Amino acid sequence: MDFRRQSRASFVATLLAALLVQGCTELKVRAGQRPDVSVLETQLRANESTREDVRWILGPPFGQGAAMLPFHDAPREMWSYYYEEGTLTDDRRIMLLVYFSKDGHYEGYMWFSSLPPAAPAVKQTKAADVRAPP
Amino acid sequence: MRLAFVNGAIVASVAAILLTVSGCAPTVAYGVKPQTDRLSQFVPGQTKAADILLSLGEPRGKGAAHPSPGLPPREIWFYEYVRSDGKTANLDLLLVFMNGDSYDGHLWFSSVDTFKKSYNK
Amino acid sequence: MKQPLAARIGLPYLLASSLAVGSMAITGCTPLQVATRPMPSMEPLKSDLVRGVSTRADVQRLLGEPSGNGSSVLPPDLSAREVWFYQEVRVEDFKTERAGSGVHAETYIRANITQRILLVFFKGELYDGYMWYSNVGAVEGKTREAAPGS
Repeated sequence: MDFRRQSRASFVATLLAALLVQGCTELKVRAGQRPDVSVLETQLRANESTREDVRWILGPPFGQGAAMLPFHDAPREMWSYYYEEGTLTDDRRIMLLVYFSKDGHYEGYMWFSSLPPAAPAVKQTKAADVRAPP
Repeated sequence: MRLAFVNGAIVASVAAILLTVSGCAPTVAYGVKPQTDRLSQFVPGQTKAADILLSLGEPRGKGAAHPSPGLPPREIWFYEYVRSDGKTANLDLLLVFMNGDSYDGHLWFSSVDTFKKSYNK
Repeated sequence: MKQPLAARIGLPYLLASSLAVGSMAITGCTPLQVATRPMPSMEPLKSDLVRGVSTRADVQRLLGEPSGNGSSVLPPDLSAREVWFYQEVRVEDFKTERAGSGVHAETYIRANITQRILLVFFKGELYDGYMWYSNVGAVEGKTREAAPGS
């Protein structure tokens, strides 16, 4: 997977401007894109949805990995999604990990967040069709 | 249950280092250090949410885990603490898994990282 | 859907790169890289370490000292396991370029960022599994000079 893409300038500009102009402790940053965790049980189906379905519904992941946890009989592929916002005195974020079974199907997830509750994220699909082509 | 990766310590540590270079106050900290020594008191299926709150305090955040269809979903309570003094970064992370109102496991780790800068000649 | 690079990099590295550039502007230094100690190859996870057979000593020999540790009690068996934590972060190849002047001046920034994290599990003295994660990418941004008197 190619992760080398262009970034949006807004949060970088904000934090640099704060650092260089307003003083070294006035730094506000924001990064990533808040994933919509409500789709994990509604639009994605364990043992049915494919990697392409996950990419279509959640968007491309920003990280990849693997896991062979104590109850796994074999390694599992893993994708990660991330959003963070904060200052140098407080920082809040959400992390979502999505897991794929040996045959490449969506198997499950784990997420945790310290962000305040937000309005539902913008849906990335036009309809709740987990088999919509990429 | 799957495990999560956290990189908050890097935020604090690199920020602190670079702020130190620029002459600003370096200490960066957020969150509350989780009291992991109390985890041994918890019994899966028996310890209740109210007991965990009394013991660990309010979590910094929450989440959920449903790692495979063969396992029931679990709620996650998320505790973390990040601190950096410009040279090192300390990270403490604790995830508590809840099966309904009962404790159902945890994951925690604590790390210290040291940073180095390399300058162009 | 196209995601901004920030979504793949995450705040820490963007903050790191931007602050690195910020410090360059303030101090005149030109840091090329800010990094933790490097993490070992994860190849042993596939080829050398065997669950229920390999020991802590094997893991330490093949992967090195962890930067942290912890414990886990995980469903479904709820057995206690020790956890070793490894992490590597590198923010490098900072480049900046100023454009414009006065209140319209802008500084463009670019850096490459790499992060890897590994958790290793032990049941008693024996290796019992792992989890790793990695992301690599580039970040670009810009900042504008403040108006005079601000």
